[in-house]
Amino acid sequence: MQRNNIYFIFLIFTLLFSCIEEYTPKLNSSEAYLYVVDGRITDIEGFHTILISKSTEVTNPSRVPVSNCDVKIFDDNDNVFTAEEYNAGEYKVYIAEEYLTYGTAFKLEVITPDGVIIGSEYDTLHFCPEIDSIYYEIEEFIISNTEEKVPGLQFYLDYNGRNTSTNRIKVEFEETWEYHSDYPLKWTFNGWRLTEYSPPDYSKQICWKTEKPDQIYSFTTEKLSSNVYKKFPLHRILNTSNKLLVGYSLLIKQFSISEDAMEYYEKVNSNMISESSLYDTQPQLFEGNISCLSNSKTRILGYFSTMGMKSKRIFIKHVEDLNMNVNPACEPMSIDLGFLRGAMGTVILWFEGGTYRLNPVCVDCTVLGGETIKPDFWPN
Amino acid sequence: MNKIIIIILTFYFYTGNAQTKSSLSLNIENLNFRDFISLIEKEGDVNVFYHEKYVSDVSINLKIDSASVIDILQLALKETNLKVSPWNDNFVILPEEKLITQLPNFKQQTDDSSANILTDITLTEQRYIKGRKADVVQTIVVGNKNSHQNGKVKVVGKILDMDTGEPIIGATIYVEETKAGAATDLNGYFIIILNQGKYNTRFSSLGYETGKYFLNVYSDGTVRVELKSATFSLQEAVIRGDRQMDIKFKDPCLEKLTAKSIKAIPMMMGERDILKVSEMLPGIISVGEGSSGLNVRGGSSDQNAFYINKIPIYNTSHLFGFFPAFNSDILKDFSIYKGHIPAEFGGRLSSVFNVTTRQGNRKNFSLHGGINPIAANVTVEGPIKQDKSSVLLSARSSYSDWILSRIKDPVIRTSSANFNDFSLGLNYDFEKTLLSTFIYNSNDKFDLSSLNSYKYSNAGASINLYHSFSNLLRVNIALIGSQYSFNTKDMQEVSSAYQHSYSINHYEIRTDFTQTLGEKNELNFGLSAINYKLNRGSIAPYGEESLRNTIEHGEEQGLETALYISDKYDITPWLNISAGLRYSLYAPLGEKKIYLYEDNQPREFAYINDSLNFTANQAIKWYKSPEIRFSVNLKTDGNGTVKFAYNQMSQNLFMLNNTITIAPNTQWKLADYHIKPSKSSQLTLGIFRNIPYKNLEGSVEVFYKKTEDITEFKDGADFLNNPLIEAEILQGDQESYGIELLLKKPSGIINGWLAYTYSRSFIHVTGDQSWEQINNGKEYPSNYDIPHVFNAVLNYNFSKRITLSTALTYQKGKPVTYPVSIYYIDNTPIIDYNERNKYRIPDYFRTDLSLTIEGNLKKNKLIHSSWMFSVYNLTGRNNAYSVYFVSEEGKIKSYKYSVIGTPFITITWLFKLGNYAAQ
Repeated sequence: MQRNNIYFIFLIFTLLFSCIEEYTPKLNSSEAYLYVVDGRITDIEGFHTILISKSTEVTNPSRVPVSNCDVKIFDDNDNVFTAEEYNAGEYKVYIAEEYLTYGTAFKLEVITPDGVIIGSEYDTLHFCPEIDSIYYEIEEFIISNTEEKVPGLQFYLDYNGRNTSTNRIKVEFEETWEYHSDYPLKWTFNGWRLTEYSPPDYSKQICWKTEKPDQIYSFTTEKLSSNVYKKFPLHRILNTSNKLLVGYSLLIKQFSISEDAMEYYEKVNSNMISESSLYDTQPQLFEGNISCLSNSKTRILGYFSTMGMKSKRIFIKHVEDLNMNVNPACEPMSIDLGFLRGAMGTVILWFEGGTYRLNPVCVDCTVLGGETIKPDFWPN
Repeated sequence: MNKIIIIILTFYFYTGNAQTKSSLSLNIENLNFRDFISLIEKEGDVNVFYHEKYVSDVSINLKIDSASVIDILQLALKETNLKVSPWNDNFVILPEEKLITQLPNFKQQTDDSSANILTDITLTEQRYIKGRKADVVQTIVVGNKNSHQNGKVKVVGKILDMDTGEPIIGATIYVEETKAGAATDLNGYFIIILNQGKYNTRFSSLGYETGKYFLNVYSDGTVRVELKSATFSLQEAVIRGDRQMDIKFKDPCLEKLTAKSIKAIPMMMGERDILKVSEMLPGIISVGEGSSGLNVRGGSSDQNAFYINKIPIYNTSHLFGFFPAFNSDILKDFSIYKGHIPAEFGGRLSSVFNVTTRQGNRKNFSLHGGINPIAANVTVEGPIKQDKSSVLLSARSSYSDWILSRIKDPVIRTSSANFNDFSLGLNYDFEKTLLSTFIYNSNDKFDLSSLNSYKYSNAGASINLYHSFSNLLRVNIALIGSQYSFNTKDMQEVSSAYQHSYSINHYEIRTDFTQTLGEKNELNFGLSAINYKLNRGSIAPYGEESLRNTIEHGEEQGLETALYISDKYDITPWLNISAGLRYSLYAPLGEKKIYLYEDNQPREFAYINDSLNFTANQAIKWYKSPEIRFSVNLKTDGNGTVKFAYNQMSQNLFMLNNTITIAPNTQWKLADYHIKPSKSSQLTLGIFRNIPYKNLEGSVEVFYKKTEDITEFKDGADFLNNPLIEAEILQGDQESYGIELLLKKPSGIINGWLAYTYSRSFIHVTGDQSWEQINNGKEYPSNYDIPHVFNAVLNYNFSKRITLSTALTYQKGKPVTYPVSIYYIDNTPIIDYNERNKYRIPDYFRTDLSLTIEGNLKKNKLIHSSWMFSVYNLTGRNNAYSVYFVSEEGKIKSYKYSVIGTPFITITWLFKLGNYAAQ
């Protein structure tokens, strides 16, 4: 993970005088709407997914799936695998273990409904070593533009590629956490009638939410003296987040990627600066390993990669030495029932220790985006 | 309605060396002559004699800040046929004639058998002895009356500052009878060729009172003239008539800034910065706030040479561009060459910024300095041997982290930022030989908590020997050494923490000759050799836990030699040409291993197929560059000239830069086996006019510049981790053109200038293969392509003591690359950029203001002090520095980043011990 870090130096000026404000420049949209291919083959037997879509204007990001494409995967041993469309723009291909040997290179070919022929370059499958370790440290983080220091967890990954030649790694992860709504659903009032649930409805009190970061994590040990990378920083969780309140699970996937793929992800990352500063490098113009075979002047975006994969899941129940400081989403409001009489709509009420009006998040955890079905991997 | 509206505002007395002279300040409307004279007699403590019949119908309108009695009388009678003459400390007014009060002075010297008046007694001292006689033209005898020399006579002169004894650069001598003139060189010398005879001459220089002398020329000889600093004289408005011959007009496209004009400009953080002043001139723009560097006429910032007493300075600012790298107090002359660059300069494509420092007061010791919330500076100067030798010492330092420690943010509070600089100048004047040495050092250090550390420094020394061999040949020999180095540490990730040290050393020897071939012909020639030694350092692991491999960038060496010859010839009084040829020869030198790449493949590590080894000091390749420097000046009438210049330049050294502006750890790199030197040709046409109305000056210049083999970074170039620089850059063509307009009011109560520039700058990097192209081989605007720039500088002198200055800048937004579309790879939004520099960031506009209040101006006060209040970015406008796109929770947001989005106020206290005028 090579970054140009000079810009941290100028934090002083940033904090003293500078100013960052939202600004929307006028962009010419005529160059948007290009074909995008996002495909990957891993060393795990099963279905592998290829997504075909079109890019959109920056101001209006969305996925425009492209259906009815003819999608084929070729390996350098003359085997051909044909993908089927499962959902709109989502094509799946089954590849058996026998074909997924290290050193085999794969490429992709797509013919779109309007006859555009798209092809990728060969990408070679490399072995991926086991994940050495995933851990966190309690650190204090400075919240930008305030003086406040907030404690939280910083996750790190250690990589050990000793005795292997794999030295380019992409890391993906998925966070899942359990959280609870504060109250069961017991009373509702629709302006003229009070309904009491007996027994109270606990069905939406426990939720699990899963999130993927929208950042790319990759590093290489190429420039290091041994094929080991210590303390590669991943994400952080502040003590103000509800992720750590009940239980938190992290699925880490470690991929071995090719040199070209590494270069591609580095370029993506270098264009995705998180905060600006005096000496940012200028954005790069780059394309992936996919090109248009029917018209060399047509730009095709995206990347087709072949990668070895190892994964590991960790579970965190309680973090010692971290004092949680989560602002409750649910704030019961003391009310006089008389005011609600004749009001329109249904309100949720609570009568123990007074009369309270509850907002939906107090009784329904799905309001915060989670699901009430316990994931298979969740421990009992 | 004879009525006084406002009478005297202020009234000062101050004592000069020899006489008591009063200065009055008046504002009079429609006053009759008799009342006016009685007012003058009362306030000036003089008697004025006149006859009623001459003045019966004269009424007086006058507004004067400060002037002597005789000046006031002359001004008052300007419109009449009456003349004022001094007479025994009083004044006489007569119609059409001046009272002759004494016999001509030169008679007294007829029995002077010495060859010239260059004796131990200076003119000042002579005058001191004799007592000054107002408006009496003194006579200077040149040569020996009895020599009976035939033909032309060569007069070598030296023009010095009366108060400090320092030579004045660019001072002019003008001979009324022949309408010819000459200007002094960097050491204060001039040569003029005349017939034997008597001449009325005028010696003048910006910021000095004009000296009028009667020159009695017998044979070859020398002249030494001292000019009085104009600090307390009437504003230049009165000397309007003396400007008809300005030799600097012979240099097309040369901008000169004097210390005075620099002082008048509002500055950020209470420091005067000549680079910031030059940004207000047409054709010169700043690289950006928070960065050092300028773009001149559509050229990149590494195309400018910056010299201080011949020492090249590779980083010209402190604290990331917010402070100049040297103390402005020590500057004497600052010249910018951007259109016609004389043949003596080379090695950069766009411009030369040449700074000459003062040599130090040769008469008295003085100490002055300034204090502001960030830094303090002090300058000490004085004679080592009276009138012969002087020393000038200047030092400046920021206070240790005073500001940072007041920031609550813990990261900033534990950070530190320091800078300092130091210079020492020593001079010895042997009359025909001048020996000067100059030492310069500057340091910057910035530690951001324990995350990053950053240091850079400039150091240099020059020894300069100037000798006037005969009356016609002068030589300047200089030995120069300079070093720029930086060190960065990056400790943000323990595994990949690194440090990098870099240095560039410059060793130069140069000899410059000036041969006067005739009264209208001057030949310049010389040679120079520069040895560049670069240690590009290594990216080395930092800290015990860092696992980084060391990447060696290695050392580099180059030899740049040049021979030049150029001739300035005045074909007619209205037509001058300057034609020069510079031949430069450059070779990168070993010891070096050069990698060769497969044909028709990109220059990448994977395609290396061979290598060449060069031993120490072995030339790797020779690059020749003959350069033509040509200019014509055509004087169209008394008030205007038309100038044309054709200029060829070459450059063997460039910066590795891929950031929005110039980062302080940007490396310099030499042209080498793979990377060719860049070459440019420029055509300039300019029209310069004096507009007598309101004493204005105006100019229009157009230029067209074409550069070959300019270096451009490839998309995603990494200059840190790839030691093979040829793999990270490509070379292409650059084209720039523009028109520059300037309207200037150099003097008066309100003075300043308006400048507008329209210019474009494009880069084209193309080749047969896709990897040889940038922007798919299409032409694109350079990072510094800014079509419209408007600058205004206005100074308002409320009084001698209070000056208000404003500076306004408007610039079209800089080119920027914006994304064209967005797509997703594995859930991650990815922004797709296509054409380089197709869009522009929002326009830039800034207003600065400064108010300078001088303490009272009594000449013999022990300590003089002044206050300067300055506001940078008065309107607090959030000028865009960059516009960037980020992904936030799956959405792309764009932001505008401004470096200084608030008005920034500073107060500076400037002080001076000793003679006020001594600066």
